[in-house]
Amino acid sequence: MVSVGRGIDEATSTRLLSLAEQLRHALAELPELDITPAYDSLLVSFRPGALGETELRRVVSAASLAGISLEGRSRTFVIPVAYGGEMGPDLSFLAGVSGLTPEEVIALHASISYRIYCLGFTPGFPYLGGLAPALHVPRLASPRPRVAAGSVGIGGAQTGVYPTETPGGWRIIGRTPLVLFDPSGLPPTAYLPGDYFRFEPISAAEFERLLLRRLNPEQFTDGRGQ
Amino acid sequence: MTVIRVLNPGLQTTVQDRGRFGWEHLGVARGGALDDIAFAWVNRLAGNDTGAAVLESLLLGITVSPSDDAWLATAGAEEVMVNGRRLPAWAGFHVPAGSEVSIGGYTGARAYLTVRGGIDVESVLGSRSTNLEGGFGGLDGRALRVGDELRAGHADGAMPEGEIWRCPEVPALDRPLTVRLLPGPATGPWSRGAQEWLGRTAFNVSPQSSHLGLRLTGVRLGEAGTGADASQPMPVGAVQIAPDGLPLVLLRSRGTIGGYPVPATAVSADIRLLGQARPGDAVRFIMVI
Repeated sequence: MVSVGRGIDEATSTRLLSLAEQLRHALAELPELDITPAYDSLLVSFRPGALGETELRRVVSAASLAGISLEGRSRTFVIPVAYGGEMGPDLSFLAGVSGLTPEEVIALHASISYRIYCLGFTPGFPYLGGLAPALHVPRLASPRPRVAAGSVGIGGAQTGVYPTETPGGWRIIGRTPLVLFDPSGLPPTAYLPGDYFRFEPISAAEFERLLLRRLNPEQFTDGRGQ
Repeated sequence: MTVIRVLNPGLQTTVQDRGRFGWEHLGVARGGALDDIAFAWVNRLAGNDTGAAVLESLLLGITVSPSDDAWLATAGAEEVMVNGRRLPAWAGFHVPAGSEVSIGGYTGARAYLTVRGGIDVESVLGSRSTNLEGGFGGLDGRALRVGDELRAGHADGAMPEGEIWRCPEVPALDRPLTVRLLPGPATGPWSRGAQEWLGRTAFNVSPQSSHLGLRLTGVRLGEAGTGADASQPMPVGAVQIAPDGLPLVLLRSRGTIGGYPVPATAVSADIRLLGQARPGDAVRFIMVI
């Protein structure tokens, strides 16, 4: 495990992802390699015995000094979301708790570009940063046994999208018709840590039109970048 | 082309191989057979390449039937029956077409069965392992059901000559399961206190356990740790301390990012012991280093 700092902020994250990319190149020959970033730390794992500790420390030190710049390489994905109704059963709860109208909740949620700090929990699940404090809400006391794939939710100080159907304890305010994680794709997600999500309200009719379309960068990124 | 038909799928049986590597940064846990030694033996006894896919069966026995004459192998089950006749455990053996092959009486939590040529399902993201959380890999991303049919892969060369080939060195599963831990990733005085507690406490496996991780019961750690720091990547074998002061030991299909503190991590060689731990089993830890 390599730590680069403390806490959740864009500068630490950028340094971390830069280090991850350096290590990916330097260690590419190792069997069973995974390099997994979170917020301020990353995990390097590989087949036991494939590399000794001294050599690993040397590679990590060298990579820390090298510093690739990732500037300009992040993309902003625009995620169409049908808010409220049966797709977003907790939208009125959010409105009540925040003191905003449902329309204001939607406008606020959709106004921010959220950084993808890392992916985890389930395949393709993005940990997004930057949720407005007005929209922070506690999770459900007990999780729903099934949350539909594509559900957009808020839990605590985080917002995110469930790419696959799972049990979930977040408040669900909408749903995207797009397929975010496709195991037959190489890669299975179009987005990576360091990219951004912005949510765009759509109608029920638009939802039907886009249903099960894959989130592909050509169609669904904001060309202006971050 | 030999087809293995599932007559009794047991409690939870999935197709597994070594696991899926290189995708954990996208939230795709590596998965794969939890008992790496039994996995290696069952493939060797079947005459397979080391990474061939097998069936991993949890706790309760299963029954299968091959459509053609076949060479099967099992590891981890004490009872192996072919058409009602008992065969030795930990062996590869010849089976006539249409036979009923049952395994039961698992030594630990999991037993393995495969066919010469391996279980031939589509490889997804470089592996035939089943990812239940994402619903892909293995057979349609799910546990086996009655009536499922699995193809045997192609095997080079002729079928082995004899009727049976027994494992010359059946691995031990000593009880109580004693798992070696390395310190970290969390450091500092709280971690050292937690490591000391892990080393002296007698734990038991809770029935709340799953392929994601083992919940352990025992005397709680007094200070559960604040968990206020940012979430971290979770190694396989991470011993998380939950807010209730009890350990959750993460297995190969765990969520790859976690929020609870991890004062110690099981050594990779002992993951198989955790994979073989049944509800109620005693577990002890030893800090190494």
